[in-house]
Amino acid sequence: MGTFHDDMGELHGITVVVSQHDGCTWIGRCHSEDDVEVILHDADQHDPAKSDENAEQWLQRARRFGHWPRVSTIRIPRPGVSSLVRLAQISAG
Amino acid sequence: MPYPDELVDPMRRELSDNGVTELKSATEVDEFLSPDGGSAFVIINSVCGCAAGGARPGALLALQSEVTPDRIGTVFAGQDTEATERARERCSQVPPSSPSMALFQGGEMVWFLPRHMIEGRDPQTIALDIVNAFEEHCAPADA
Repeated sequence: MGTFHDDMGELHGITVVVSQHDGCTWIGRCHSEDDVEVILHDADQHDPAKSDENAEQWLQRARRFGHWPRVSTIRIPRPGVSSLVRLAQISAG
Repeated sequence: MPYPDELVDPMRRELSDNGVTELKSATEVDEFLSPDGGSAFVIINSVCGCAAGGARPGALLALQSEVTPDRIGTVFAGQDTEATERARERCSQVPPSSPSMALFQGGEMVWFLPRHMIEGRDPQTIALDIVNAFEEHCAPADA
């Protein structure tokens, strides 16, 4: 079951996890995704070089309680994306 | 900027017409979540059709279960801003999201259902999560 905006793709309005080849991870509400980019609203980023916790710990906290909307909109170039999944699909650790 | 009342009213009434108490000020939220008030369930309602369209019927389905909290209330994000802000303060370290739901015991949050666990899911699935929380946190000790 997606959202009520069927013309925007099945992930429109859904909170997703975007993992990147450089090790950074984003969580945000997906606006759209295609071969060029993934656009997220109300997003937060985990950068292993800047965080005391690892990506798995960060994801588990977000899976349980949600994420902080620190960035209004972020456009992530698709070639740098290694995976795109719903946050709700992240397994409990 | 709040949405027009004529747009929001049906979304309010979907809950209030089914026994859910509307909380419209910080004082009302504080009284509702008083430490001696037993268990309390708060629905953070929202206009968002992507998720709230499943949240409201999911919550109402859950309220038909055998075990329910002592109090059922709601604040409307983006509309009743003072009440919503206070309800979120009472959820302490939980990031703000709407729609979302929280269960309290003695004024302390014991369970939270964030938006991402609501969006794109059908009301029955959402209700199951809520009922599980009711049974874990609200069942009589001798049950």
